[in-house]
Amino acid sequence: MIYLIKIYIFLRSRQNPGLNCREAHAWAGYLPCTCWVLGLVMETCCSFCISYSGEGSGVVVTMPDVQSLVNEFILRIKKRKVEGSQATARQAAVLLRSVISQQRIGYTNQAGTLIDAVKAVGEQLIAANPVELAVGNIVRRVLHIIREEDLSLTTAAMVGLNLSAVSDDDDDTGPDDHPVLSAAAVAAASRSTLRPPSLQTLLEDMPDSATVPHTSSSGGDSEGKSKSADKSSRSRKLKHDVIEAVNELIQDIDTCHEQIAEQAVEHIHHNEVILTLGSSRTVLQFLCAAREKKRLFWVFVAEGAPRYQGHLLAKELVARGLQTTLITDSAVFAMISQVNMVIVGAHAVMANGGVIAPVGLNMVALAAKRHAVPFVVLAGSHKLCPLYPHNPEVLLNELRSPSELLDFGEFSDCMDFRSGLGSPLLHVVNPSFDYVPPKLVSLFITDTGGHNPSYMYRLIADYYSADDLVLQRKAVPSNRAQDPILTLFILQIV
Amino acid sequence: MRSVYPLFHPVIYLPASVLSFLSGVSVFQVGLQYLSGDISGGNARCIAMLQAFQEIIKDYSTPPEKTLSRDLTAKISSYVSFFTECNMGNAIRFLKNRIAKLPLTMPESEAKTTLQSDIDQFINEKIVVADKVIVSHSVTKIKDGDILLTYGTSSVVEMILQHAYELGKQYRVVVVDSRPKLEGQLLLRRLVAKGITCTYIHINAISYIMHEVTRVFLGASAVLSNGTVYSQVGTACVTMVAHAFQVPVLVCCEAYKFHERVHLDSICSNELGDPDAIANIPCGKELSFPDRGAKSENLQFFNLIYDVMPSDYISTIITDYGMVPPTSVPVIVREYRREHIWI
Repeated sequence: MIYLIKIYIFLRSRQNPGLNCREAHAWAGYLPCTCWVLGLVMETCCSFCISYSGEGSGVVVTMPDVQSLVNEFILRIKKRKVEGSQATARQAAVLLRSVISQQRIGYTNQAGTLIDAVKAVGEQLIAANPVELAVGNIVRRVLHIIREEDLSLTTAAMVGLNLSAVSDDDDDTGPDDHPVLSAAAVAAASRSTLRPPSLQTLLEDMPDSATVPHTSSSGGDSEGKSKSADKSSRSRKLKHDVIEAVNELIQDIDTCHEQIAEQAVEHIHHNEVILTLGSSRTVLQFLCAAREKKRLFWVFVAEGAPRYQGHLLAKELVARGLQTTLITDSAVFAMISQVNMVIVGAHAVMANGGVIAPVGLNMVALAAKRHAVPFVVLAGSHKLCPLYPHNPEVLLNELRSPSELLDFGEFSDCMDFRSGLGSPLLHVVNPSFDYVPPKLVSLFITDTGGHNPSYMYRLIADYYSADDLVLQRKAVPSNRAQDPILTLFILQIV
Repeated sequence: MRSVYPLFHPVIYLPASVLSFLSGVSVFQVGLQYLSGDISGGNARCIAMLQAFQEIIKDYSTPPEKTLSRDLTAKISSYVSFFTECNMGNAIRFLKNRIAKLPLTMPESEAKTTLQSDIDQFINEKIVVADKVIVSHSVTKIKDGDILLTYGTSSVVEMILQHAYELGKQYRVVVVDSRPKLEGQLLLRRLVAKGITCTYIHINAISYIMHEVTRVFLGASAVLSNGTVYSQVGTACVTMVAHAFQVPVLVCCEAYKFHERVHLDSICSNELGDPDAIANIPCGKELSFPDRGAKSENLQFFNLIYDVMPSDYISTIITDYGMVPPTSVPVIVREYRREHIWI
């Protein structure tokens, strides 16, 4: 025990250089008489350790085998081995599910623990590739799921509390009497839930739910004694519910193409001409679904240089029996007067209704606007990002290798640095994405139906919580945990 | 809609009169050079065609009992039908006009030398000197710190950029290129060799780069009477995006390219290029269609050559008559016709 206390003092002294060994030995002498102090110290020691290391990397919170999965996924994202937002979103969801299922949660503040764990992993995932917005979307979706499940369990528990209060007072009062809930129990139940502030809670001066209570000891112990039986079943239930909901999310991601393709028949009619650029699996399934319903239409595919994905799409469409014409990207303005509708996929949809799309689509959108051709964007709900774009052409863009445009061998003679300042004469710019502002988009078709660009902000409230928009966790000031303990020890010495 | 598009003829249809006429060889050669793309650019093609006509006139001899003017006009017309795939309307009309104006009493050799010198004068005045005038006008529009954007290759724009560099102006050029011709790479090489700082992009990245651009300089194949400009395919996209970002677009075009036709869109009359040029992707990628022989009839390739850009996207047209707004084009067309009568 003395050894443990010495370790504790040693850790504290690193934090607070004022402490020295003489004082430490003096404190160690009081141990045999103060067992309850030891119990308190052990508990706060654990919480201190967690919060101390939690400031740094937050990695300590996760289990080692899950950490290896996380690292592997991060490496794959960084090396761009995972292509496409659907694949990335699915793998991120599966990874977070493992993190949640392997996360050990105590009896109190379970939702807070889970949220911390997910945020810790989520920060790393987002930092690996900030331009891949689907990862951030899934992290925020999972956080929202945790909060929602916690809320629903608490309301169920409160209903249960009503019934249990009734059963307690049964022998005293008649069954006709209204069950009286102790105010403390109600306050305790709502305090432990992470609920968005409502007018009632603001009036009752409840603590702000945005800060996750990191010390499990402060208020939890008194509640824990009153509802211990409930809590054990609740902890199991929360995890179980959250994992079920994440499974549903994974299934939604898998089936988003089918759900979007179901709406194809409403939008594509006979003898229509559709224009698209590049290749998108959603667009392919959309068009094929219309073809299966025996609609006869033509498709113009712009090749989408320099990746030439349009050629792949054209091959697929021809294989399924659609009349396809392949054109160059420069011919889009010339052909758009003959086209009835432009249907494209997206990389991400921002909260203002703007679209991060493959390069070249802003040009197509402008041409469509000029000729009053509807510009329809197909996007699964995992692509909906709750952030508003600022300077998206630069900040949400990725530049690819110039060798896709100019062959290095052919242009090696132009690589000389000849200008007076020693800067290169030849620059090559090869962006991956384009930003299409919401005023150019006519319709979004998602797995929940068709929406206007001005409606997309409202969908965010369904999928995300306002507390999760900024994922960087606030640095926990460690002084707060220590001061009561310090005063306690000083009292002991005195 | 599908039947409107003309089919691409890989084999040239040769009228019988050309085959029988020995000096038709030069015309045939020039025509082949057009189709194979050896001569590219409106000015070069026009000059090549007029020089071919000069050869024809040199070797021409009037058949008995026919007037030179009528017979030569008929011969020229037969070649004109050969050249109708190219936009040489004004040059051909000028030549026919000259032939018709020849006095009947003029001896044949004198007529031929007159015609040849007229063609030389046309080439000199309407193309070479006109280019110099355009360059001198345009250079006033370039100032230090400008970032100029150009699309594809245009001989006039290249001359402007080189002249401005010689005058010592500090500017950067953005060269926009597109498939299948990838002509921008040639321009890029020449500009970098001269020492001009260049940025090279593909046409898809136009929206990315247009924030920085201050002016857009473009060439033209023809300017139509309603102010629309007929140019390489993709120019319309460039001007549209420039207009969306409020960047002024300057079209540099000699006056002989002005036409009295009007077009509303690019499909009315256009040229189709080789479809294989689209199907063949530059080497290094495995996306090309391997089974070329068993090509499905569901798949077509559409290789448009020209593009029509609406007049509201253009800020000014720089010609040898000065800098005019697109609305002044029919006025110039009218004056131009009248000029023929006076010369």
